Amino acid sequence: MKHRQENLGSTRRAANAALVLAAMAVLVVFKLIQLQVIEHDALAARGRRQHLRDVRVPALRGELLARDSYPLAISIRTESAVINPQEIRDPEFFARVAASALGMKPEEISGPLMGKKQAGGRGASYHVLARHLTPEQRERLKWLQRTFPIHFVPDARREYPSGITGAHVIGAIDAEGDGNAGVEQKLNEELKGRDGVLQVLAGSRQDRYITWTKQDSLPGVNVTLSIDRVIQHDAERFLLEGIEQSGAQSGTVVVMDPRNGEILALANYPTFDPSREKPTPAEAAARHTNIAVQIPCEPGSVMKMITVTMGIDTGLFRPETPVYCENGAFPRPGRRAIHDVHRYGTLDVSGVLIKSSNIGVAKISLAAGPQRLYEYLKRFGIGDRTGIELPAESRGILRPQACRDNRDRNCWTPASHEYIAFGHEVSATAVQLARAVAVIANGGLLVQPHLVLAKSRPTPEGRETPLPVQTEPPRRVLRPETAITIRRIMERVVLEGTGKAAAIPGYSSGGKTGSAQIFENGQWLNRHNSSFIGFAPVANPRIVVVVTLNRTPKLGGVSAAPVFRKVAETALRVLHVPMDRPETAPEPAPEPKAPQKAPPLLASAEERTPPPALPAPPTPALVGPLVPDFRGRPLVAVLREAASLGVPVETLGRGVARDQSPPPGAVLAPGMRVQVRFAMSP
Amino acid sequence: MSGMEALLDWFAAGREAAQERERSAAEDARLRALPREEIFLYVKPIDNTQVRCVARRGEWMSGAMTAAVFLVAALCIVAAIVPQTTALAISHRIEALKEERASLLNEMRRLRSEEASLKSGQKLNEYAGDLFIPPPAKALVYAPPAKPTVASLEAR
Repeated sequence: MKHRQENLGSTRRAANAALVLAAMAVLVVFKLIQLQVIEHDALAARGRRQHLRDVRVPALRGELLARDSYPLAISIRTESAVINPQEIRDPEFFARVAASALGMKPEEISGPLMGKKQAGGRGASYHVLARHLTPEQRERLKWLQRTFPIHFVPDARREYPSGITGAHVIGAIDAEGDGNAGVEQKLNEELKGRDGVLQVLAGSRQDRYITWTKQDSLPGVNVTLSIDRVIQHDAERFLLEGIEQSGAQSGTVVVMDPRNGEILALANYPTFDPSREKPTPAEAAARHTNIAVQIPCEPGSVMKMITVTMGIDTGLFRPETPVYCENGAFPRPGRRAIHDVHRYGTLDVSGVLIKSSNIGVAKISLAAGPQRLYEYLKRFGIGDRTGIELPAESRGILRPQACRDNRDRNCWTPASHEYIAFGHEVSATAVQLARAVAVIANGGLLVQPHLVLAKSRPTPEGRETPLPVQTEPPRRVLRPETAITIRRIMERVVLEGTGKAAAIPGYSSGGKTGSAQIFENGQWLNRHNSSFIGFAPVANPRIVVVVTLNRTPKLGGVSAAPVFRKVAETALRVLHVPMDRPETAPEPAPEPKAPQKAPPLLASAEERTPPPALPAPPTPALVGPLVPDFRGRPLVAVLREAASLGVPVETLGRGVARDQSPPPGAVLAPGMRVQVRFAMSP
Repeated sequence: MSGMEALLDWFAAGREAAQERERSAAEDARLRALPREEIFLYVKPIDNTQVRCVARRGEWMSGAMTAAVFLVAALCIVAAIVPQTTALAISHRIEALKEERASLLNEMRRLRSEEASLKSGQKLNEYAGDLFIPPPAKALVYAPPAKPTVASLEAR
């Protein structure tokens, strides 16, 4: 009996133990289900986070190249040394050792290191010991790596080999590697490429175990700019000289190829050093102020070029049409009188531009009306952005001509077109002015000023894949014959008018001076925004130059014109433009006594009297332009081709060109013109 | 295993035959007295030069097969390992060359930057001053037009 009871007790105990074990097994199973099924994804992700991490591999920023393919901005791969301050037990000792390896002072390292170590919190576990290590520094730090937890991370250094030359075009980058001025900012997305991702499988102690590339980095696009390094450098040099000589506060120079809108140089003063990582406040202000595209100012008399062009292109005026200039004062009832600097009686339209008569252009504008003036201003691109690849471009100030209602104050007043005719009540940037001059220089086409010539993406093999560059095609806004007429008048501005200081030895040039007096705090200051816009050579202009000097006491013909001459001379030499004048200083042309009647252009060759004796060219022409074959073409086509080639022509009759003299292929001698006879029937 | 034993026996038989040949070549001694003993040891020469070790054909084949299996297995292992090892070595080499190329490209960028810096307008100005002026193009001199107006609006 006793034995049976013992057996029963033993069985019960065994059963209890089994129950306990079963319960424990159930718990284990439940825990397993919880870990492996319910929380599987979260735990797996947590594990991946702990052991797998992504390391960003910065893409190499694209290069900015000058038109001769020399780099203006280039990135070079370097390495930086970083540490975790929390892992450094004795910062003082570490600073002494690391400073000797890096060639620094110990306090330069220990100060920030101690600060981060004591501060704690976010960012306290990462400290950049030194950026852009040299090979020697890296080698020395590699030895220290055995003792101290020093890590090397990839980095890149942006170099600007040309120094401050072209600073406002190139721009600069900030500490994050993003552009903050110039093309660097405007084309930042393309230049910076796409960062790569390196995946690291780390052990439980977070030591690197294995790495692989998750995403290759895509290098940035290389951009070739239209900037010519020599012209750019000289433009900056001569601008600085001009500012020093004229006492101006700031200034800008734009050099452009009128045929296609390529900007050859764009200089501003004050300027900055793009390679300086911590600029002074003045430099920082200069970095973000690109005067040539961001700061519009009243163009003054240079706007007369557009007004006179309007007068001739609409057919209301001819170059020889007389305009009475009221002997210096043009009073109008109920309006402020318009004055000229010098008193003029009657001038022809050419003379109005040459002598820069405010009254003359105001009368031209009055005759044409405000609507036409507004239309021509828009044709020349005034009030519209040019689309140049620079940030924060201003559209200038050109109020709408038509008012929306009686309360609209942001529109032209009844007298606006008289003042806008000579450059008041309107503002334009230097790039806008360059585009406007280019219309005259290239025979009537509005081109888009642009800086980007080509783009290409570098491949890992060291080759480059070209990328398309889109530029707005030129748009005809003016008849070529009008453009060439204005070109000739503007040449006389340099030879006999206000822009004599702009005459270039060895080259013909045309231009227009401008001096807009500054109105500030309710009074006119003895300070001007002096400018000169011009082109050279006259026959077939290769460059357009705009010079603006701000807040100078001197007028444009004295302060800006000499800068134009120096910059244009350098540019023409650099571009290997053939000379069309003797290299000696040009002699001033005699003053015209009275408005001369233009010689009859339609007179026959026999009837044509020899033109009034012009000063003979001092040097014999070696070779002249070849005469094209005009025969069989209509009048407009002949004039367009002649304008584009810079060949002066005389037309006789109407219809289709039947005969010409000199014959096609002949060399046109100096002072000669091609006579083309037109006839209606064959 | 029998094949292995047969192979070893075969090797042992060959070795014994060689030793026997050496022994038979030695000087014959029929009767010798052991030192300080009145006992004579009679040594009977046995001629076993004619003895032949006859291995069974099956055992020989078995040995040969074993050797062949070993050889093929070794070749298979080598064939399996060599391409992967070669690929590993080549990929290491490729990575090293890529790194070298990147380093050389970086060096080229640095040198281009240095060249551009040395040829910049600022440096040229420092070195040559105003002497560095591009010469003018003298190939052609275009004739300047004589009249300010070259085309008349009346002509249209």
